[in-house]
Amino acid sequence: MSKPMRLSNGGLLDRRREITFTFDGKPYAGHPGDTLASALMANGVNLVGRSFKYHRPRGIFTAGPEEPNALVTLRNGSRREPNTKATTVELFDRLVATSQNCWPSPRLDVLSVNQLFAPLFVGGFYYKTFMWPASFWEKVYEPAIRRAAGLGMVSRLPDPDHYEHATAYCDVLVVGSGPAGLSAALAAARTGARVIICEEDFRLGGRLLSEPHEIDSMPAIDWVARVEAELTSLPEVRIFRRTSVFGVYDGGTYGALERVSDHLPQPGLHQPRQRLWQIVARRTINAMGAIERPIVFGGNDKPGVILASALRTYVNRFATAPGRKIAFFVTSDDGWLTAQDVLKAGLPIEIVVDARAHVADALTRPLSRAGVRVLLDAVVSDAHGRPGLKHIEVRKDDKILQFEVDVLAVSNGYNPQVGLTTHLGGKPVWSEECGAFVPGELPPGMQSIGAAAGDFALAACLRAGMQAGRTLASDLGFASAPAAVPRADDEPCAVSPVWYVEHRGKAFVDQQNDVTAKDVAIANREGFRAVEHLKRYTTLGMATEQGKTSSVTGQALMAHLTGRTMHQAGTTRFRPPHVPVAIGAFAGPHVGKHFKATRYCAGHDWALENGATMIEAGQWLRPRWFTKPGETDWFESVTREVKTVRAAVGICDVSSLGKIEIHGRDAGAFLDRVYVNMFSTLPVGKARYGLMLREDGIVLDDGTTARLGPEQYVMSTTTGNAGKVMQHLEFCHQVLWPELDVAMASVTEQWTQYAVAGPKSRKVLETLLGDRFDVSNEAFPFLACAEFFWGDVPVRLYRISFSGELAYEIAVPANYGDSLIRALMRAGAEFGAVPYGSEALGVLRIEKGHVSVPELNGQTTAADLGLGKMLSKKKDFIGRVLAERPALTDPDRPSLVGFKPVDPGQRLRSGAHFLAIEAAATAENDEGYMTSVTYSPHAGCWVGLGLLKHGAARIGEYVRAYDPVREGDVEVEVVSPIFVDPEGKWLHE
Amino acid sequence: MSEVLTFRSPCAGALKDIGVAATPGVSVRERSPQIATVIARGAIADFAARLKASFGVQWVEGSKVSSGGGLVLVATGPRAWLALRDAGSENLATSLGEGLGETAAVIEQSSGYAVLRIAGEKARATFEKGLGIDLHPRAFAPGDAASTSCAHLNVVIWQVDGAPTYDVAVPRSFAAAFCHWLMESVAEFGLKVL
Amino acid sequence: MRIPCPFCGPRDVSEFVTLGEATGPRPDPAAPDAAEKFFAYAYLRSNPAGPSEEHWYHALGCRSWLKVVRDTRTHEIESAALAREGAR
Ligand SMILES: [Zn+2]
Repeated sequence: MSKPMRLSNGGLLDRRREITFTFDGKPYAGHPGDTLASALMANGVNLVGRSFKYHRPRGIFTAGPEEPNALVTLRNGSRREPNTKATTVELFDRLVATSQNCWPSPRLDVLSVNQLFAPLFVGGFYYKTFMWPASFWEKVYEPAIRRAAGLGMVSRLPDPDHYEHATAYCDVLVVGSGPAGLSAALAAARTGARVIICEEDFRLGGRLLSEPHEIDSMPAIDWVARVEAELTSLPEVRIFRRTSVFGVYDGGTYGALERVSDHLPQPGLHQPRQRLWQIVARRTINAMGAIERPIVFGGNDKPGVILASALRTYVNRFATAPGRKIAFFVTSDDGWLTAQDVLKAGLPIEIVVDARAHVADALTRPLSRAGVRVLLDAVVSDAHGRPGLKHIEVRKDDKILQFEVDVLAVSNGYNPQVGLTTHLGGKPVWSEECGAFVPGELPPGMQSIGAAAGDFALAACLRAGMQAGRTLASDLGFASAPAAVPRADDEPCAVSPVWYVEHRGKAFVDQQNDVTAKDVAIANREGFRAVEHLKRYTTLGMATEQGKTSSVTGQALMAHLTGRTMHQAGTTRFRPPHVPVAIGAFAGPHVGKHFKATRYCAGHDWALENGATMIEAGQWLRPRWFTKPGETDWFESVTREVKTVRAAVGICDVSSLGKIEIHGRDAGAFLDRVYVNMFSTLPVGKARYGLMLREDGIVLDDGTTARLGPEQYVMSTTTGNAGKVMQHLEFCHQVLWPELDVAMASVTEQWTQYAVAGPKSRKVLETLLGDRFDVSNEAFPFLACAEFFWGDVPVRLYRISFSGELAYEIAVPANYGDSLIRALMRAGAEFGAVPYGSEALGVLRIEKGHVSVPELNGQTTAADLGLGKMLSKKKDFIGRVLAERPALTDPDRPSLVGFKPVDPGQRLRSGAHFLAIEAAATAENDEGYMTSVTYSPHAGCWVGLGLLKHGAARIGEYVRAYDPVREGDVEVEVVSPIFVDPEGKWLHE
Repeated sequence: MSEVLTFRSPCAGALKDIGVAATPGVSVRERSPQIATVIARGAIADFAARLKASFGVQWVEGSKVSSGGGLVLVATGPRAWLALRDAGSENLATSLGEGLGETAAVIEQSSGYAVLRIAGEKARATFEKGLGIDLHPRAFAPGDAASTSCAHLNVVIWQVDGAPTYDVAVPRSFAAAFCHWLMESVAEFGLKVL
Repeated sequence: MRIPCPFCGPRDVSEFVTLGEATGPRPDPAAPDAAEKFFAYAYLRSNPAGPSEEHWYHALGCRSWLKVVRDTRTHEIESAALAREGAR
């Protein structure tokens, strides 16, 4: 396939192989080694998209991640990714890219009429234009703006790719692999230190890939290969290519994104698309280099206007150029070096314009000798052409000269890449010597070297790298003999930046966000002069490249307008991420069902085999109900389960409840301090309900705690609070009372525990245990507990009840849990035993008036729950003092009672608020709220638990349960919260 | 009734071979040792003395493994250890309780953890995708132990030998989640289930 | 942020749970002014811009409660000790 703009020689390309791709549906070809941008350029495609606000035609402006213009949508279908920088996309076979922000094509874009409405889009337009009325914002303004000024379209399909997270450690992290980074890595690695090199490109070398230098008397590219080979041979060196360090975090932690498969049509087998690295480094060398600066003049966004350093990269590395009639507008020596390279590549240069009056002969001579027109002390004021550059206007001594060109390379000195140095709050400082902001206070352990520190010359970079690598490694105790610094020339790199040129056309500061010089002037006029205000008022530097080519220029313009120096104006700080990172990479493998790990009970498989519908309880999966053949809805199943428990026997997995074993001489005394009631007096072989407060007097958790031995207790907690309670107990022991002889461990995982509840529960256990254990009422009364062996297997048995029935809980080590439930069901078969789930458990406990999570809601006191009498007067305990505060003992506080609808056909809703029958539905008349409701098969109607002002004293009254959200307004009777067996006789049978 | 309770390991059925190369980079084997949590009650020196006297195990200070005679104590905290011994006739918790006396509390945990032996050339590269700690030989060597998180699950890991071989204890209810993480992370290297 | 657990060594902050400023010791519940003292203990914090003594729990590690001195401006950790030992 012909590539009209591919130079016949040179470039780091594999010309033997051809890669085909399409852009906007048209097929093209490139070579391995190309980026999408270079391949497009080689094919003569320079108009790549339209701008965000004004839909102006835009081309390729840079050759790296700082690209503001050449944003494309990459791939299609579920892998479609908008806003991809063509300058960073490694070309792969069958790549599909499309332009953005234009319809039907970049050449003919209907929405470019936005340019006619340009006054609407000036600085601060969001704030001024769309102020009133507020309701218009969502309905009118925003959709209109979004449609007109989008940044590509996402796929809306699930991401088919896999993303990984990984952590790596090193002694020295080197960010960037240009001359400074490579020599630093080499010096550090030779000491034996663990070194990680992160290079965002797919090749090591940085600017050495683009500039024809000599190092140690060999072409720079050969030197790179030699260093790479040595680094690869060292066992403690890891080279991460295609990896961008995007964030600096506390404690020497760095975030980096490795694009593992982005250069392939799709990830290989078992390969992630991207890998998010957390790199922990003891020392870091920031050798990220520098980014060339544009100049603000009229039409400086035309396709064909390009950074000179980028042109150098396209010519030298990619053997292509955006045009055949090239002009230069420079203020730096470096621009002249690019011009020399362009000349060497055989490309014609029309003119070189330098704003400086004096430029070294050594720089100008090779060009003037080749017949290139050289104009010093002159500027380019405007660039013209539609859609691409056709001619430029040059102003020299108040005369305007016109030149027909299709490429204008701009060189205005470099901005060191200070982004990472500011992530922990460091502020870059202006260096007059470098004509740039250089790193200020650095993150601990970081050193910036080379161009990233404003040290631009090659020999200086190599020197700084060798020095820094060795010094940092030696700080960490890795020593080595000093090695020779690679020899190279210090090329000239003087610069006298010109930020802004008087012009007529639109002059852009931030090309991606379409912020113009005029917008900066408006911000100044309206008082938004501080750099941070300027940024937010104009959106300067807030696009996907985060102002890498625009921020400092905008700040320079503002400094000029306000008569301040660059030092006085200052610059903005950057936040992570330094480059865009896909949300998918941050999520990593923790997506969908794996967002959080699922915890399974040992009886999980059995439950599924028996028709269980599962529900998440925290991270646990618990059976919610068991559907029997013929049952058509959950209500039918749950009601059957409840009725069976009340009439015969039911079996429920309670393994997910927290279980904490507490040992030691002071275990009882310790429990006395963490529970409101006494546990030191609990006899061995007995269990007791316990209530725990937070230190502020509010209820923390409840549960049953059993004493298995003189110095051994087992506490149970609610499923949701297990971790919190363990943490609390550890705090009490380690921080408050380390002198107590107490040892504890969570045994939640160790025991599978089933509740066996109902009048026939004893029969089931008798059948199951036979003569292994006597479960008769005499031998094992209500609240008894015991531990015994079943063969080799320890068994724990508790006679406790959450349902209000005669009930037991039996526990075995979880490795036998699956076997236990199967044995239990076999034993229960003749008594009609059924499994029941958390839904029936909820019905049973509400019928019995037991509090649970909806009542233990972090706002209730013991007295609110009718448990005030449990608070021991004989001892101190956590929460005792603050529970006595007036507001917590106020008799007006809502307290727990039961509710029944006056019309038994009506349904109750939890969350409904209580009002006096005649009271208006206002907040002042609010008397509390319903916490839990259920249809009670026992009562034959809906019943509820709730917190009502003076609740206990109002039994027999009628109130309204008012639920405006679901249009409920039900008259209810205040009743005892205990709907079944109020005397608790069943428990003792 | 003659019901017998039967054993089912935490990872039963959760691990499968992944073949991508002739030699898989990692092997995994579920162990089923007896396990107990051991917590020192008084002075650690007293505990260490009893440990030596009753079991011949020399206590190693810090986040380390102390072992001898088939008994392994993996430090999980300043005063806590996970004790492991391959299943035998004698109950581990009982014998530890008797042997350590008042110097430590012993809590049965044989079903509390899944214990996996993970070994091979690519074991470190696999763990890198889940563990937040450094397993480089300079940082973590045979005999070292760490209580940490792996893909947000709390795990105890200790190095057995330089192959490298690691043992990992995962709370039982998380065993399936851990196996899922392992299978995904190890896939590119290949896995052999032993 | 990385916290140097005295037992485990430096670990990522994601393994820890913070309880905020350490306000101990727990007041004497029998003292006549216990109500005021407990109020201060439970609610009042000095919230310094600088070194702050805090309680952190190594939840995904050794389960130790630590007393950590952290500079609230820089997240630099000046020290981390087992709270158990500090209390003794
Ligand atoms: Zn720790």
